[in-house]
Amino acid sequence: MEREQFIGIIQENKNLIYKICRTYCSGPELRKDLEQEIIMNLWNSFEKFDGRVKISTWMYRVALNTAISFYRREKKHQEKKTSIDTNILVYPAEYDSEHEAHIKILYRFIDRQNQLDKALILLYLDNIKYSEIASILGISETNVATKISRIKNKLREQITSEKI
Amino acid sequence: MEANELKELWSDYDRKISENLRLNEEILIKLTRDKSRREMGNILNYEYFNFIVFAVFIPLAIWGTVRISDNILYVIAGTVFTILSVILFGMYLRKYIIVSKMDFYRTPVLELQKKFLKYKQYHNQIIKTEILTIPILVLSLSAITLKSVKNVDILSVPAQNLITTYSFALIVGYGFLFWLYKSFYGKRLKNINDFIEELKEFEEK
Repeated sequence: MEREQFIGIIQENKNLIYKICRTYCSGPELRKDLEQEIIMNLWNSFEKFDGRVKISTWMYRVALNTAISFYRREKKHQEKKTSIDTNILVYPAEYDSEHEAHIKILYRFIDRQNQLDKALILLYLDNIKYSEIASILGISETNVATKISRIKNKLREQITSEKI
Repeated sequence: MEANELKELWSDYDRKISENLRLNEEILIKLTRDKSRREMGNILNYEYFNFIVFAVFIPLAIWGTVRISDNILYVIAGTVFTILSVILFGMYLRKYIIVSKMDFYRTPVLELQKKFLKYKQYHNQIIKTEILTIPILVLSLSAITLKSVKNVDILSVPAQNLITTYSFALIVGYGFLFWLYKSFYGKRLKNINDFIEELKEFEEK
């Protein structure tokens, strides 16, 4: 019963996990590792989830903490460690539309940021409210607003320089 | 392209992901069945191992020292070993408490990363202490063990030989351990300190 509930939650929020893995891992093998770690950590914490925060807040916290710790660990050890050699999240078709170039530019920009700014950009783009971003990251709402404003300016410059 | 346009673009991208992304439920079920539900599992296992090692060695050393307490040199060796072991045991205990208090699943990102760094900094401090104490621990424990179990008396040699041999052993031991620390932990400490600066910067406006 609990497992079914958990699978339901992952199903509803699979995009979140996919985008975090894409943001923090460049290669498909490491993405597979990170996917598994995030889902394991979510499963491990599921029984403690008491509904005091939104499900999305809980998932972002666990997934981002996992991704940041993973990223710092894997920077040193670039080797495959997956216990299960199949992706849990499967994206069968190549995303091919006129938006692809813009998304690539966005990811290139995100790749150049430090680990914490990556988290902030992702949360901003996912349209998460500033108060929830502050709760997920553990900084003040004012700080969130200031940082996002700075990031938007940097991004505008990036996009202008790539002539989109 | 303005911020709103970017958000719309991202939202379209999100919709495409929803349409195309499939969750492999079979693998997900396998994953949730195969591994035990333990928070911070590997780190805690490492700490338990340290406890067990010292929980075994400290009473053994005390027993050995008491058995051969007629020789003052062995009493000194045994006392030194016990004191240093108790200090290390205390440090491991403190590290265990730091780890067990970490709520990986409900703590905001910045706060948890700071706690991880605090744990890693303390871990490095323990490594330094181990490096300083291991040669002395090894020498004193081996002296007590050889005497109490095999009746081999390595401390009852002419004082000059004893000092020379032990000094040589300590110099070689410390040389090796300092090299090991520099090679493996020097860079790690730098990475930790760099990330601490990054966290501090992120917290400020």
